[in-house]
Amino acid sequence: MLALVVAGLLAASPRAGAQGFGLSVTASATSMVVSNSLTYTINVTNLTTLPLTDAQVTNLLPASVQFVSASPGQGSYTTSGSVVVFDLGAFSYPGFAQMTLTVQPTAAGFITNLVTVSSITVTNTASTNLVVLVTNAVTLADLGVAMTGPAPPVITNDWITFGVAVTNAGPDAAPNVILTNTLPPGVGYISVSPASPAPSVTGSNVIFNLGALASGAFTNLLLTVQPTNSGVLQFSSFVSSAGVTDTNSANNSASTNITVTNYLSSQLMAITNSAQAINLQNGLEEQSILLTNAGAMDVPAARVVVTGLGRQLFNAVGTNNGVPFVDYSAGLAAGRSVTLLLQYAPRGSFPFSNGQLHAFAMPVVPDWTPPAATSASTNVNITRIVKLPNGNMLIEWPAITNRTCTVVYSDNVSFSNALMAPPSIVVAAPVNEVQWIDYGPPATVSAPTNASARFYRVLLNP
Amino acid sequence: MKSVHLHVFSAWCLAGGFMAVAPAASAQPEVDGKPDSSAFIRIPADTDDWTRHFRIGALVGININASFSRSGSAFGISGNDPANGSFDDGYVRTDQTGNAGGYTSYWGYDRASQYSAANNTLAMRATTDFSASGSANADGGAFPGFDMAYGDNLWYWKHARVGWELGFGLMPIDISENSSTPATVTQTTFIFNTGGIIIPTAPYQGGPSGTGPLITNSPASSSSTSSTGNVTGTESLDVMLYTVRLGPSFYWDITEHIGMSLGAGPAVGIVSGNYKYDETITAGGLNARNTGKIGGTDVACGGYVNGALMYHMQEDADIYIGAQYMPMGDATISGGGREGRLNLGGQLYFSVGINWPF
Repeated sequence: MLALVVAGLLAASPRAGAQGFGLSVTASATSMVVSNSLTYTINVTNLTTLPLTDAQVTNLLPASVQFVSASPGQGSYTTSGSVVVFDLGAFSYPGFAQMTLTVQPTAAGFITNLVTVSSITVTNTASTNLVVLVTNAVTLADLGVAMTGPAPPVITNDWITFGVAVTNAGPDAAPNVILTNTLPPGVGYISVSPASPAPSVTGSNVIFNLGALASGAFTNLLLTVQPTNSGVLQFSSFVSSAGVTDTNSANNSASTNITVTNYLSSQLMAITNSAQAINLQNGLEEQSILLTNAGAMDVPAARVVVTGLGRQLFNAVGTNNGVPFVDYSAGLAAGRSVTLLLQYAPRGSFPFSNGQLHAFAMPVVPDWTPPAATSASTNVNITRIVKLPNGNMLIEWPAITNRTCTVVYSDNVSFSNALMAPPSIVVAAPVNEVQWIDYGPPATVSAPTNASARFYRVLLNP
Repeated sequence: MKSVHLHVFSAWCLAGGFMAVAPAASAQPEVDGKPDSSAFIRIPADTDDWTRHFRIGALVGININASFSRSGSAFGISGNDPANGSFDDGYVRTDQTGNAGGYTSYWGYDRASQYSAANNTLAMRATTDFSASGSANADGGAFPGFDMAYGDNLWYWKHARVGWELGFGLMPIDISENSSTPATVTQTTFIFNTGGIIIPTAPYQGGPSGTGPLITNSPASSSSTSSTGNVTGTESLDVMLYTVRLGPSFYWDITEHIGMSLGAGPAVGIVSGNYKYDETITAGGLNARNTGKIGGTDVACGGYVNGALMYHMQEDADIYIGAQYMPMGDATISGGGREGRLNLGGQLYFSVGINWPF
């Protein structure tokens, strides 16, 4: 905030001797901030008993003041550097003249305007000065940062994405907002979305200059990183703005712990068990693979990493070391097999071998946790559910521009023990209707025909 | 028709010629240059008087109208392109896979009735052409334009002078009509196989990504039908009219500050621009849009009679107001069975501007 000191307003001080001039100066503000305008009002009274034609009022301004304008009540004015002179012209006796002078301080500190009224005709002069303290403006803002981590499980070398939300609760805009993200040891930065502003990466810090953040505004970033070590890794973020007085520094930093594990020991194997074929319902090239637990131990969940792909693994839920994979979220008992469907885009069969399939066991995949407030606005209205001839279930809903959706399913209408059906569904214009097919693993834990009941919910992603 | 216009033009030429010859025949120039008070006197070439003038001004033209007509069949449609998968009630285009496997995700349709679940087919219709005959007239309003003239005086008598004047006019004209006409409309239905998929609810718009429900990218069959429909829309003539006129002029100083001039003679008009149409063809519950334009230039011949009142503001500048009747023949822009005819037979101009004698 602006602090202020008013210095003085000294009364006119005519020189000793006969009466000469009455002089007073007032300022438009008793305190002010750099770059604001300050107006002096100068009152002069002719007490010389003579009508004058050469009376002048001289303003000697400091160097840290910039002249803006002047308004002589009578006569004219001239400027020369930091001196402003009002020529009062014909100044009768008794007479009174008032003039104004507007300036703009360019630096903090005390400013003094020395004002003198004089005339060659008479020897009497009067002078006064006015001192005002100018300070820099103080910016008040409440910057905050919050983090969201990826859904578990996270395996070493997975490319994981965590979200960082920077907010400014005001009341002022915050200039030059800097977000510093500190990555734990062994974690490499991969990318950020949106791509601009690009960060500078210094050691374990990924630093963003977010520029100005208006009061009430926010910025969301999604950082993709690659942890190369297992363990509980702490990711932290800190937001600051030079020149801002933060009214609540408690929310300027945030952290989240992400547990990273290695694959579990297992004897899983995956082989193709169908030819590649176009699915006309979704436009994808599809192929079934058989995932078998050849070991003696049950596994809580499984992953198949597909290497050497010449095209996109459409139903991949992530990448490990940049290689796409699908996850089977259910347990696989020893000696049992499950059929997974791989989907590729663009469609069109291509060479593929079993050597490109790599199966691993993973820790258990937790159930889906409903959002804190499952309001109607986060639910999409499903307009059609059709059972396809092959037993798969087709769900349709209206597309929402620039929003992605996630399908959640459960074996009960209350959606307890619900699971997500990754990946999220992304639709680009001009598509206005979305069709999603529950074809069983890996999208869901079992084929719909093998479920006693299945309920679906489509959620708009944040 | 053109020969009639030429005859009319010739008549205006003769009329102008007689006007010019008459004062010349009666002119009796004096050897010493003194005027004869009972006859026109040839103005000496070395006179100090200002005999020439140049004037420039704005004009407004009225009493211009147009007629539009269609006669013929198989007017094409611009609003769809079945060969490239654009129909009146949907589209089937090439997706980003290049329609791999003969299928495309880049399709859409408008109505549930287009889908046959029994046959696993989707029908796309396109209006391919229509036949219509008839005409419509439209009156133009007032068209602002530009006018300028240059002239010289050859004889004088008291306060009157006789000479010639060459004028040029420019006026943009835009006349349109909006009407509905019965038409015989040909529509082609293209049948696409859906391969047994569950097609999304209508209206559906698919995207070019290659993912999403696929249908065959080429129609399995097509058939055409004709039915009665309507053509509704706007036709317009958007042209520029350039006129050139040349004829004798008569000038009379009525008072010290007010003068009057009269003129007559042949005139030629050049009409250049476009015949535009923007119409909707409706039949069988489908709407097809058809827009286009036909460019052209035509020449119309005729004549003019004009008069102007001038006020001498100062020694070398007058302001004038004038009126001009300039009947001409019709000008037409046509093509493909369409014709737009501009009727200039009664055009009347009112003008105001500045005249410089020199």
